[in-house]
Amino acid sequence: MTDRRLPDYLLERLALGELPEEAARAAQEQLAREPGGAQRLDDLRDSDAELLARHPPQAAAAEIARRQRAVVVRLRRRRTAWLTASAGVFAAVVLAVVLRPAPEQTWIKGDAALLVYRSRGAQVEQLQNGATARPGDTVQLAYARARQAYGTIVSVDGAGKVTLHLPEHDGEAARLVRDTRTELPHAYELDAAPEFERFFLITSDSPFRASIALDAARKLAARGNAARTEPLALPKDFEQSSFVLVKASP
Amino acid sequence: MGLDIEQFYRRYGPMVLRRCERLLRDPEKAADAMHDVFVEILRRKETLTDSAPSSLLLLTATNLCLNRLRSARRKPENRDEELLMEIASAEDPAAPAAARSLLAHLFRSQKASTGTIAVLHLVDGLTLEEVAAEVGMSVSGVRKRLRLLKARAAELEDVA
Repeated sequence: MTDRRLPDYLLERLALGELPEEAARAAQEQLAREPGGAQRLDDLRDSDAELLARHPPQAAAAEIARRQRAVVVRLRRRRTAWLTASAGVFAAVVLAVVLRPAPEQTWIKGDAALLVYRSRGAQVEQLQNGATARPGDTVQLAYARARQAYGTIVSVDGAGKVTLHLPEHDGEAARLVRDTRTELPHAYELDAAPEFERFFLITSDSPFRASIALDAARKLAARGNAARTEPLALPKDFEQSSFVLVKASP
Repeated sequence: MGLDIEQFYRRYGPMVLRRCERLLRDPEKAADAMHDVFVEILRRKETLTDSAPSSLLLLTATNLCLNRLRSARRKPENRDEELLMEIASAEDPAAPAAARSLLAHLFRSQKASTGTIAVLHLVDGLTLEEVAAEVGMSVSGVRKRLRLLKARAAELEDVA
């Protein structure tokens, strides 16, 4: 064993200073015995520089972030495929959400459905309105059956915090993709806010500022527990639907 | 947990890329795999407790590359590759379950996949003790896994 070459695997960890103390000492000794051993650490540093030049950190990080966002959607699709041996079954699931709002769902005029999926490890499930969720759960929002052209999605949690989900930044409401199930570009991790997380989809035929929905959500959030069940106070040409997740303890 | 992906990549990206290149022998596929390794790690970052993530990254990269080799089924060009392909083919036929068990191990609950253990020992040249330390198992546990893999490889050879 004493004449073996230090495995690259251990050399990598040694170079990063991440080998446990005893293993690091053994690796150093082994490297010192090896012809050209010390040079191997220098070569690794040169290789680092070369690979970072070939795959620059900024671009790599952007690609990783892009894949990270896509992964929940991919998992959801896998789940959808399982759910829908025929496309009709999935349609029925969506329809059930749209036509049979659960007791806590506020359904006011709108046709568009707000869909919520949860990813836990490799499992993805479509949640029903009123489902229980935990802090740390990753949820993916989507909407379907949008007939109106513009929309925003906001949420209010049990701590009174209001979050804008669609569009991603305050400004004009998003232009909706009509009649097609469309997922938001990002999945979200639920935080430790207590009691509930309620999402609102607000739509209109005319362009509007997302701040209209945000302001209405803030007013509702200020009313404490009413935010769990009451609708947003919006002008009559807006339509809204909502979806509640009940928060379980962590 | 706030994790600066760019900084994380800057520190560990070259190591992961070298690992993927060594196992896949294809720079393009290695770069693709490298990105996915980070995605896997970051997906579970809230449960990432190890203060020395290089081990987790290397094990994840190994497992992911084995899965890709298994589905690629290309003709090996040298003995190392041949060995890797044998390991990839001989690993637990329920590969997704094995992958899950590796990830579970990485996040401190289960054990590493047999294929990963075999790569560390047979391809990388780690001793049984070093493998055991890397995957958090006993030496006898590692030995047993390798025996099982060998038996599976022999079975496959018989079938072929």
